[in-house]
Amino acid sequence: MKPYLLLIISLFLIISCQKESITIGLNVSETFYVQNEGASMRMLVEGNTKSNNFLLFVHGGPGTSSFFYNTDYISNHIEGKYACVYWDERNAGATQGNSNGENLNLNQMTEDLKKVIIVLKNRYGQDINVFLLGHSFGGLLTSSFMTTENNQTMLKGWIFAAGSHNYPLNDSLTRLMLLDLGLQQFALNKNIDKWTPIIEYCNQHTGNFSVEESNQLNAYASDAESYFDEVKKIDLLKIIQENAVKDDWPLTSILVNQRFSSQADFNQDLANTEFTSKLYKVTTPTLILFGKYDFICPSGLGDNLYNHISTNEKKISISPISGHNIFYQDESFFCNEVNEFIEKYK
Amino acid sequence: MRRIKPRGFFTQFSPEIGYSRTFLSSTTYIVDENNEVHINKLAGNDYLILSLGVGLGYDLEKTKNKPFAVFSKFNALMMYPYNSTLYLRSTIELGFIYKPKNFLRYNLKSKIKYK
Repeated sequence: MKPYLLLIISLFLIISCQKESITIGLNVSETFYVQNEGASMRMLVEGNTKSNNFLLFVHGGPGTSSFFYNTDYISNHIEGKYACVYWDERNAGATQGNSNGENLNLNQMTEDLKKVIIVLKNRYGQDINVFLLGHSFGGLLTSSFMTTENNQTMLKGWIFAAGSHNYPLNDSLTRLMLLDLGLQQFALNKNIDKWTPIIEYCNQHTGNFSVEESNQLNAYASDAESYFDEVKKIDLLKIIQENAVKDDWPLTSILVNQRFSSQADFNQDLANTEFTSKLYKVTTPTLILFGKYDFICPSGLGDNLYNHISTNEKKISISPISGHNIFYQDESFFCNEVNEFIEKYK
Repeated sequence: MRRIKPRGFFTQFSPEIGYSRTFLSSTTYIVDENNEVHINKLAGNDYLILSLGVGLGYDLEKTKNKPFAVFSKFNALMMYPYNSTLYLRSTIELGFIYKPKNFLRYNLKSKIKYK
């Protein structure tokens, strides 16, 4: 009899863990999952759910994690006013699943994002105001979402933070920026040894980039911003040390997912993906944020986006001291711009 | 596999294969084709587990005639398929074994016939 009793108690405990619990308050922190096509995607909602305003972070990568966006600064300067939603995309962060690699593609992820918003509205009320924030690859994913069917009607606003909506254009702009600023630094006799191979590479590879060339440009772009004194350096190890234990980061899962997604076949398809030709569909208020020293996603992408969306409710703002990770490198600029935008369009 | 020394110290090595069923710790939602939201109770995943463990212990039965043993063991677990890849995790076990005197002890009854 006793083993059966133990089994019944265990099942009861498991079911209790999965019982729906929704908190409307000023300082909420709750996790739930959205399951779709082989992925159980982890969602963390933190902050002021009582405000009725939800800022949904769509992380970069593909394959990084929303854990990196949940900084103390954002907690202290945004979560008090609004609820922040940290979504781990499929095959990323703390998201779980079995053999689901064949579903890792942009169309599937666009559908995932739609379902994530449907679940948010189902949990917290159909009348909540959802603001979508896409960073880096998240810019491509949110561009796909915004230009698909009537998805944008689910939102109050779109924030495009150092994102890329056009990968071929992205590569060209990265090359031009590396070359322009590289030559300027060369003339100033700064970091000659570091800029020399970059300038040589850019002179040898002039366009119609292969995936390998695109990856090499991205690698140079990642290094380049660290050659400027005014740009805050990012110490990934320090970020992990300070946050991983405190916030229960599933490090192994983040690592294996990142490794799989960054090497997945669909990256080949992304190399030719662009949404410039579809941006005329966007009529939702849009905030565009970039860093002056962002070589990975140069601010020229922001200009292209600004000039092609149809809404008149749009603003582009450039941080004078940031590289690609604007929410780390110019925290006050990022939070002030985001708060002002939500306040205006909520 | 366990090697016990006469003084009771033992080392162990355990290659294992198994099945794991995980349960997600929070509410899990599914959105159907009509955009209606449902809760998926008992949501989780099934994995094949391969594990290698090495450990040390001390069996008190050998020297002190007590039915106890204590041990520690380090395991490297590999779960597959985890998002189409391998998930590695390590565990450390600290254990206590109690061996009841007659537990699983089989009393052999035999009949011998002489011709």
